[in-house]
Amino acid sequence: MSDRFNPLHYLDKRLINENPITKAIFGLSSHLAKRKSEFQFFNFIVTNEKGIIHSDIKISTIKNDNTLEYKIDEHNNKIFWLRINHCDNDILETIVLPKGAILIHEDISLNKSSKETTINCLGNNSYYYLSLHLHEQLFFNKVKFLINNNVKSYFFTLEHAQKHKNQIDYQLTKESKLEHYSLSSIQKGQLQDDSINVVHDKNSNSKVVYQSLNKGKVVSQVNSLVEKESIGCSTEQNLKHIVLEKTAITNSKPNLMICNNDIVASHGNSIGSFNNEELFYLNQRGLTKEQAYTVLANSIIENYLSNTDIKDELINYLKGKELYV
Amino acid sequence: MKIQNLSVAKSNKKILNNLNANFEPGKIHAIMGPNGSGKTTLSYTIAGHPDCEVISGDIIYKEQSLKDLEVHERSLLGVHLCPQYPSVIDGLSHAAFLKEAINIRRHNQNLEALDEFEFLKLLKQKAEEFKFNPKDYIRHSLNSGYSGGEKKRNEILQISLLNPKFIILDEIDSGLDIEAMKYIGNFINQYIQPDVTILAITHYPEFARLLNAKEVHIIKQGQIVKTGDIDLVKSIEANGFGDF
Repeated sequence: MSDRFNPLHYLDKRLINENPITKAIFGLSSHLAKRKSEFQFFNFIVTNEKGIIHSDIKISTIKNDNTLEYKIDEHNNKIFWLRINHCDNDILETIVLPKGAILIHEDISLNKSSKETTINCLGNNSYYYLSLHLHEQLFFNKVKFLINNNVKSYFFTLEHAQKHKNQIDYQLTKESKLEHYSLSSIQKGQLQDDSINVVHDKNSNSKVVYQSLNKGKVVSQVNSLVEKESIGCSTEQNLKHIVLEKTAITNSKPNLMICNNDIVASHGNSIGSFNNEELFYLNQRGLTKEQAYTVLANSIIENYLSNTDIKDELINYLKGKELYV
Repeated sequence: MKIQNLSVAKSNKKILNNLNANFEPGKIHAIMGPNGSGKTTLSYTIAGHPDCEVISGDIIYKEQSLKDLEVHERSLLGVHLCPQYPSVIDGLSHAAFLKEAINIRRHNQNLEALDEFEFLKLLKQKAEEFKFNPKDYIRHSLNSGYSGGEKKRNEILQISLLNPKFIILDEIDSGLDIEAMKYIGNFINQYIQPDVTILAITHYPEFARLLNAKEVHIIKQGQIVKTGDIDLVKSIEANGFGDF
């Protein structure tokens, strides 16, 4: 591992040594950094006291303890892994993604918290949102994207808070293109409440694919707004919910709000179990119903990962959390 | 396997009507009959498909009734169905799927599970044997993007790997060119053993001959109306199923 990736070189050792909590968390982060040495690794530990900021990311201002504004300006490496440990915080952050940059944005929240992010995508970006929530409270994640040129956006939630709410707003500029892919696994007793809003400008294209593996409760709403003056657009919505428990509840709403005729638009919405013939085929090869369900759920995750640019890195991430077999 | 007075309904419609049959081991049995006569329903009922509702009768295999067994339990007993249209599952690699399938069998036989290395070595051998690129095959999603012929070859690869004893081939010859048909026919002829039974459902007398079927069963209106040797197919070729 190159020295430049080692956060230890950038830290104020006194601050680590004097603060047992940050020392402990930093120890964990440093360990993870070694495992992901191929990435630029940035670690923000935000506490109610002063945060520790290691940065090749430029911090423009810190408005208060919980407000971050930063610009990723590294040119040599296009992949950035940004991990934020939340400790009972509400965070406001602003990110500018340069052309071609890939951002992996990971939340680890240790207590009830929320985050509001504004991301300015300057073009040909991929954005990955990963979350791990270790508390049993509400996590509210609000992300606002300004889309220039082509952007692929992935929201991947395999373990989350008891109540996890995502509000994702996309503002598409003229002739820009967005592909959004969500995949969530919801356990019994958990609620995932997602709202995805896409606002089109002229000649812009959007595609939103939302998938869930649901044992708890899912509320998903996808809204595509095409105003009268936004001509020449195309928009596609595809929502697929796999229900894995009889008690699971799914509330799914794909909404097209279109105010002109010069558009190509489609939406699909399906809620159901796995395909019976696929289950039968697997059972016929000796797999029990439970094994067949697991295999099919994994196939959906695998298929989702295969469509990303960083499949192997994400698999390593999941293996590290024992979420991928 | 003995089938005794079997009546089966699908979607509340009676398809099999008091059907009786005796499928002796060590033989290839060809099942022939007009469209809609109940050939596929018979095979899916033996395999335990939930859409096939057994109204009356029984299926006895290895001296036990299959009627109350789950699909996977029948599979572990050795019953193996190759469907006419094998499933395509994107995201499920052959390696992940077949490792589960083989290790469940080993567990059932009180054998140790194959480790990753042993299993991949075996699977690569099988892939090569059945004309797949071994490296590509292990990571490839189940039947994804495969042609009809490749899917059928994948089915017989699974037979070779999992070693079942009662095999139902539901129109495995459909959509195959003559070369592919011969390839599958050769495999089946080599696979048959004294403890193996093969039911081959087919519309083509040519395929029944290729398999050297020892018995030919004609199924019509949910019943087996005639059983005989391979010469029965001559009569079918000449007069169709009208004589039965």
